[in-house]
Amino acid sequence: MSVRHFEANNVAIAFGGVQALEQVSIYIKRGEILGLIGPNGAGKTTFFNCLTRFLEPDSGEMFFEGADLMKKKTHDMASLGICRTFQNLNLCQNLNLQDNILLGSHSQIRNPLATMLSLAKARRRERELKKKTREVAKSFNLEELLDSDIDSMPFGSKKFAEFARAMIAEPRLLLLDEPAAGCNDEETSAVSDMIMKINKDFGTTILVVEHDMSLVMKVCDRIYVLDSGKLIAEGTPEEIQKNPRVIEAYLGDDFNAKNQ
Amino acid sequence: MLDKQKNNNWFWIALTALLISLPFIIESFYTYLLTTVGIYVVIVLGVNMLTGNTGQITMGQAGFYGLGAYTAALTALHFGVPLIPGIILGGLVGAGIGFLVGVLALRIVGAFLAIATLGFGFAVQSILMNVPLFMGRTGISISKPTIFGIQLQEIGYYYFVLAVVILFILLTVSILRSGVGRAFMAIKSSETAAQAMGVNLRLYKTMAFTLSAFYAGVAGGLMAYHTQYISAETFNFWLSTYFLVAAIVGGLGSVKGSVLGAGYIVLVPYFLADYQDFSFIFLGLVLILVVVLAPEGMAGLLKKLRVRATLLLGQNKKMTDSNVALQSKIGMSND
Amino acid sequence: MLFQLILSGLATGSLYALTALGIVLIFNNTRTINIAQGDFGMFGAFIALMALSSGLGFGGALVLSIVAVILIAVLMHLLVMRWIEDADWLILLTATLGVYYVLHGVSGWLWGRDTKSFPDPFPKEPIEFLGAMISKGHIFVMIIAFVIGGLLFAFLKYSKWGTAMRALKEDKYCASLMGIPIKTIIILTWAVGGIMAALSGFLLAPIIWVSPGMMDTVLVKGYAAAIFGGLYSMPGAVLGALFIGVAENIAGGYLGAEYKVSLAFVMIIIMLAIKPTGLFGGGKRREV
Repeated sequence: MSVRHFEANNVAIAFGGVQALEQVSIYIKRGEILGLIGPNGAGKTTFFNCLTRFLEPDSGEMFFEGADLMKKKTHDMASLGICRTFQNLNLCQNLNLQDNILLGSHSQIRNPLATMLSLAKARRRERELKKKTREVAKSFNLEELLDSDIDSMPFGSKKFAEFARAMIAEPRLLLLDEPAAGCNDEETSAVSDMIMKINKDFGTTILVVEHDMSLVMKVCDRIYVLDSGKLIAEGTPEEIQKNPRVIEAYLGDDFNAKNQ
Repeated sequence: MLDKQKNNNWFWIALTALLISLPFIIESFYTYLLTTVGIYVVIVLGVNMLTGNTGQITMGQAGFYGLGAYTAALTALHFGVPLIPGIILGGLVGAGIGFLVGVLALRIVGAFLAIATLGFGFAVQSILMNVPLFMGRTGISISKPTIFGIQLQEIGYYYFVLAVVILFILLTVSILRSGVGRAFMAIKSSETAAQAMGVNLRLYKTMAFTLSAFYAGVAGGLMAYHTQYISAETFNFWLSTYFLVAAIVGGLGSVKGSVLGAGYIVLVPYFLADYQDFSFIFLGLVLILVVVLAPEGMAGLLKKLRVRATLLLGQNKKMTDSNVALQSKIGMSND
Repeated sequence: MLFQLILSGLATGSLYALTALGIVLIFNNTRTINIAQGDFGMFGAFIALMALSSGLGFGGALVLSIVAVILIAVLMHLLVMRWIEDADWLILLTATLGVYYVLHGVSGWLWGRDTKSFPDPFPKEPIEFLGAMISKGHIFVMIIAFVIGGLLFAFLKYSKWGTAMRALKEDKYCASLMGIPIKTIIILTWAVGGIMAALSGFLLAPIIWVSPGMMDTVLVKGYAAAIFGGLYSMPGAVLGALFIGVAENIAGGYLGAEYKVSLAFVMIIIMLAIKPTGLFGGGKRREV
């Protein structure tokens, strides 16, 4: 249990007769960066949504630090120490950057009534959180933008804003849903540097679900490969790159993509 | 940013000073009308927090308003409960019923709440009409409000309502600036993001709904003492939609918008009282125009005007970052 | 007594069903919670009343009122709703509220706010049916409502346009890829919704009489019925409408007619509390 920070056993889910995930079992060690990859439609996002409790798997179990995740709801994840980013940016347009990051600390609200009334204790708490927001923003190079509207921010900063919002809650497991989606090469490399920096500086365990091979090969310690809802390989980036089944799955995908 | 804040504070201070001196300047009837506006401000603040900030809609707010009014009136009539506790009771009854409706009707799908509140408004009115306790169309008369044994006259009540309005504006600002307000706004913008950050949707939506019902209940209590007579006919579907119209035309998600919207929805029907049908047509057309062309309402238009004025006055040299951001947001060219 | 209450409840319920069908149809294809749906019918009833008083027969009055309401509904789409198609459902609802205000004001201005009687197109004399007395009019109304409902189902199920409408409901993007003319279909949706409203107004007019506010409570009952089908299902809405018609008639018979509207609310709440996706609602549907 101590090594296996997180584990999922035999997770399965079907949509209208299509088996999207078939008996998927993975584990994550404390402090590692784990990759979950696979061609389009392999079930990566479905697994991600099961993990974050947006989807209810048909069967299987999941544990995080010994806690049974199947008994938890989506909004319990943050207070358990599991935070996430979204594939297609999901920042709140009606809040500025500072408030967006502060939203990440929502699970620290203990007494909503006192918070609403801005009682002395809640005000002190808010001041501390704002200070922390500034620190977090600093580590993601967002300090200058704290008062900006989300609309007016450049794409790369929005990506980092998602990271900052997840990191202010000091998660012990950070889930990244296709962090390189929509990025050019330069932005992808900035994102991968940031992932490694988070892992090194804060010791956060990270799960990266990704389509982009270059990012995964660069940052991950270990990789699982999904294809058509099934796990087909597990290993270090070097092993995965040489694995014939993986090459086949990906080549088939590339082949299809070129023909379209 | 700081400049803007200061400007804003001056706006509120000047407005408050004006409102305090007004009863000495205008006719007493207009003082009465302004008191009505003040009471509407309270309820529209609640509707706007629910609709403008949290993205939920209510079409039965007159129900909570009526519950508050009858609570204050009946407790005064039967148990001699004075003004302030009566109004607080009105708010609590509104909030209590609001909580129950919210818990039952607030599923993840927001459209259901709209329909449930629509039914709720009609149900409350039919109960007020028909249960003998509420005296239906006959209505209930109550005596003038007293605070600590002193009877309030029209001007006195105006100041009392003004104080309550200021209190509720401060409360609203405090909620919206707190973590709870952030959660409300996150729900409006993206329910998935809010959930992932740990916001319990059911809990926070119910909270926003209960709060708005509390505001409505308090406003109802204030209104009972203001008109000193309430009858079930007042609390109809139209009134519910008025509050919604006020929040939208005033400016969704803006406290200033709630104040402007309350003024709008009291004054337009008042000045068009002899032409009721045209009043409906006017309100309807303006609502459609706002929704289609100016979704940020009167508050949004004011903001635009201010930016334009700043530009005209040639102050664009020292335009602050926030002004630039504001400009780009409302799509003004920088020529 | 009970059987009689059930029978006449089914008659009014079948009229609520027409409103509910219009509501569900428009909601499915445009995400719009149409507050003006009831007032479409109100406007149609006034037009019919005008036609009747100028000497036109019931048939002519009905046709005229249907044409007028189709015009109103389509104009509402072209002038207002089309411009905000992609907006939040809350904005769509608000716009229909604006139309509701305008229709209310215009009808009050043209025809006055007082309630006007509407001649009954059907014979009133009661007939005996399985031991219960029911007016012939009620039976006619029920038959007409069911014929119309059947026609609507047949239209949606078998006609080219109807099939396209259902495809649109499932997936707008996919439908556009399949070459379905979405713009035309949406206009058609408003038109058919208008027909439902006009019929509902025309058939209700002899019972509840004509005034600008005549359809307000019908609207609430229409929505209560629509909730039964989770807002998406037409058979669910019809069943809900019949159920509400019967339940309120029974409650009205024993408790007093004043509580009929409250009953609609109670049923909304019970339905939402027990099965929020509606009787026929599956698991996951689009979030609105």
